[in-house]
Amino acid sequence: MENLFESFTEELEQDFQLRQNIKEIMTKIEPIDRKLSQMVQTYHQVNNTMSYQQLLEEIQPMKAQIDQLKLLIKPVLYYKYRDYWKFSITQISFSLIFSYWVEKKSLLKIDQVQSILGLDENKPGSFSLELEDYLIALCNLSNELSRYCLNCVIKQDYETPSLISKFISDLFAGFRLLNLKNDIIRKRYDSMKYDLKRIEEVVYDISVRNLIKK
Amino acid sequence: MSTNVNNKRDDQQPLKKGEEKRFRSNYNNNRNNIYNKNENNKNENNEKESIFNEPKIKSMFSSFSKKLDEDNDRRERIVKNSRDITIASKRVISLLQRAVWEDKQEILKQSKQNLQPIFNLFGNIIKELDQQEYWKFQKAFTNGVQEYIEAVSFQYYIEFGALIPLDSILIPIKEALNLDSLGQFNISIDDYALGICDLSGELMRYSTGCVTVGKYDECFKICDFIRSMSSGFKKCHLNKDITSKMNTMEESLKKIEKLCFSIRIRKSEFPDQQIKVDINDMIE
Repeated sequence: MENLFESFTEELEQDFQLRQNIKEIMTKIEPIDRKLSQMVQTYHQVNNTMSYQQLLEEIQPMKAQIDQLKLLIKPVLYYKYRDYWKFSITQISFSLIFSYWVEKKSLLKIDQVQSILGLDENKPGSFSLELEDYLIALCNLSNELSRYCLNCVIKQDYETPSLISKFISDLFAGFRLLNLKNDIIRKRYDSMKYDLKRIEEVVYDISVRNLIKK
Repeated sequence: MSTNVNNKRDDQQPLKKGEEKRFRSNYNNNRNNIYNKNENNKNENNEKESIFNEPKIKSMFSSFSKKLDEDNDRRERIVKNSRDITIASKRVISLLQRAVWEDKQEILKQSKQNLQPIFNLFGNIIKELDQQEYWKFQKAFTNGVQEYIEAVSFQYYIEFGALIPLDSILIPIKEALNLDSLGQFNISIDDYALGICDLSGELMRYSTGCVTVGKYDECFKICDFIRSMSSGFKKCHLNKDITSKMNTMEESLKKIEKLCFSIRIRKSEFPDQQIKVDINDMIE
C-alpha cells in the first residue's frame, strides 16, 4: 500500500505542477481577452476609430501562447484542462465576430475563427474552438448587437438597425434548429429572444417616425 | 369592433413592404387562430420556410444541430451503460456484505461471476470512446467507474485483506473482453480515490456485521486497514471534490475506532473469561 500512495503522490504533484504552468500561460492570454473587450466597447462611441484590423493585430501575441499550451499538454488531455482557457477563447472569439460583423455585415464562420486564432479544426485530440464555445460567442454577439443598435440611433445611423434585426432574427431561427439540452447554451438562447425584442422595438421606433431616408 | 380595427389601420403610417407582410401575417394568424386552426398550421409552415434572410446561416445551423445531436446521443448511450454498471456493482457489494454470515469462498465465487456482465458494459463504453475524447465524456461514466472500483476493491479486501492496485482493476476488464489494449480508457487517480472512499463506508458496515457474529479480530484488521488508507491519501495532493469525500472516510474510521474501543472495554470487564458466541444460536 505504501508504494501505491507514493506513486499517487508523485503523479498528483506532476498534475498540480502542470496546472500551475497552464495558469501561468493564461495570465498572458487573459490580458489580450480584456484588451479586446475594451476595444469592442469603442464601437459604441459616437466617434469610433476602431477597426477589425486592429483587433487582428492585437491577438498576434496570443498564437505563441497557444502553441505553448499545445506543447505543454498531451492531446488526449485537452478536454481535461480546457476549463482554464475555454472562457477566454470564447470571449476573444466573440470580440472578433462582433467587430467583423459591424464592419462587413457578415458572420465569421467557426472555421474562420479557428484559423484566425491559430486553432485546429474540430477532431479528437485537436486543440480547437469547440462548437459549444462558438455558439456561446454568438449569444454574446446577440447581446452586444442589441446594445449597439441603440447606439446606432444615437449616432443617427438609421440604416444599420434594420440589418441587425434581420441578422439576429436569422440567428434566433438558426438556434431553433438545434435540439438544445438543458445546459448553458439553452439558457443563453432563452435570453436571445429579449435581445430580438429590443432590436425590433428600435426598428419600429425608427419606421413610425420615418427616420429612414429614401 | 370592426370599425375600430379600420380606424387603427388608417391612423398608422404606411409600412415597408417586408414589414407590411409580417404585420399582415401576424394579423391573419390571430384571426385564424380563433376560427380555423388548420389554416393556422399552414401559415406557420410557410413562415418557417421563409424565416431565414440568409440561407448560409440556416445551413450552418443545420450542420451544428447534426453534430450536437451526435455528441448528445453518444453521451446518452454512455450514461446508460454507466447506470447499468452502477446498479450491477451495487448488487455485487450487497452480495459481498453477506460474507459476514455465509461461506466466504462461496460468496467470492458468486461475486466474480456477477462481475462478468459489468465487463461487457465497460466494453460498450470503450467502444463508444473509440477515437473520441476520454475526458470529453468522462463525466458521463465516472459514477459507474467509481461504483465498480468500490465493488472490486471490496471483493479484493475480503479475498486478500489488502488494498487493490490499479492494475488489478483494469486487467480483468481487458482479459474478459479479449482486448490487446483498452485504448484511451483508463482509471484516473481521482476516480480511484473516490471509489476507495466509498469502500471505507462499506468496510464500516462490514465490520459492524462482524461484531454481531463475534469476529472481533476482523474489526481490528479493518480499523488498521482504513487508518493506513486515510493516512496514505493525506500525502496526496487531491483536488477539492475528493477532499470533501475524504472527510467521509475519516468519519467511517472514527466509527470503526469507536467500535474497536467498545470491544476492548467490554472484554476488559471479564479478563479471565473466554467469550464464546455460538453462530448457530445467533442465527436461530
